[in-house]
Amino acid sequence: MVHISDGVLPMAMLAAGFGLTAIFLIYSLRGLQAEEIPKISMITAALFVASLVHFPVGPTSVHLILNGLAGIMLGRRAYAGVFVSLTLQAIFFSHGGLTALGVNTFNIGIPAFFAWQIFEHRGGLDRPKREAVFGGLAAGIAVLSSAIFVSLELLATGEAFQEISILVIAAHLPVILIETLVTGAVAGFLARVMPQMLVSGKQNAMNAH
Amino acid sequence: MLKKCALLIIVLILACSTSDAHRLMLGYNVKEVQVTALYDDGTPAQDVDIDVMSNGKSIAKGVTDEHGAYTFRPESSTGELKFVSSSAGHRAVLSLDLSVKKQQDEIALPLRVAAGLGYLLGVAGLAMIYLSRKGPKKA
Repeated sequence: MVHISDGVLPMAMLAAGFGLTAIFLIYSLRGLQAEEIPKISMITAALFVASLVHFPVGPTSVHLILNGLAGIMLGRRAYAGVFVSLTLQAIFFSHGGLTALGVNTFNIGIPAFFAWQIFEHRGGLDRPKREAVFGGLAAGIAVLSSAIFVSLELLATGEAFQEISILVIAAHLPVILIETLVTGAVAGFLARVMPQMLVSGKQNAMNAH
Repeated sequence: MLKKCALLIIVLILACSTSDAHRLMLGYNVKEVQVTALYDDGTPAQDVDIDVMSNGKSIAKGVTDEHGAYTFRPESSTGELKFVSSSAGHRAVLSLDLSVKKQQDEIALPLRVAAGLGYLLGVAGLAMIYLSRKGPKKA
């Protein structure tokens, strides 16, 4: 559901999507170093495959998005990872259209930024627990934001409000729950075994040594 | 450590049940096949014997009506059907595959996943080459 297909949105919205995505890609990739590529590629691969993991929910079917995980592991670079993985999904899975690539990247990439910012401001608890709680929270909010973005865009094309809000937002509640748990667990695990895989929170940096 | 992390992500993904890609497709089911017998100038061929064959065996026989049409209702699990028409020395064969139930994927899903990951690896490699060429001065 979070992938909008070709021929659904009006031309102006598609163009705006590409414009915004171009701007955010430049922001996302500024100052990129060669050493960061393997990590970005690994997360991108996970994003690419994540959409194959799907569950039937009522009359529709939803799948993992993992944009929250991308946000807390890649930070600013997450948008580029989302862009590449969505391009590959559009080509190989006919999953979301190529003309809607800009809009789809926006829908999934911007919430990854939200997740990053939430995770950056983590604090309050002890180390592995803090990462798990904030990682889960970030992932849940990321999926919810994606669902809301898609709903708003479909509303703008004139779909009935009730139908869309139920289909898109309600259908994503299980995804929100699953991603909160998965991302929380991954964040807690990484905080213990290799914290350098997560974006360095301000608190984290202070407590590092 | 990086290996451990990659492994974790792979395991997490495999732990969830994967099936086909999350893409809307259309399926179909053929309940009735109407074959039309006609001569090459477009004239319908009446009273032509039609023999319906499946796996080399004849499963139905019929005759075309005044419009050259013959209607056949296949059983539920029909695979390939072959219609053989014969009328006074004329013979034509038409083969239909009814076992196809939905839009065909050109490439199997695992192959598409592998292809996608391959492209990703390629993009990552090119990006690394590009960055490491211009990198040293900056770093």
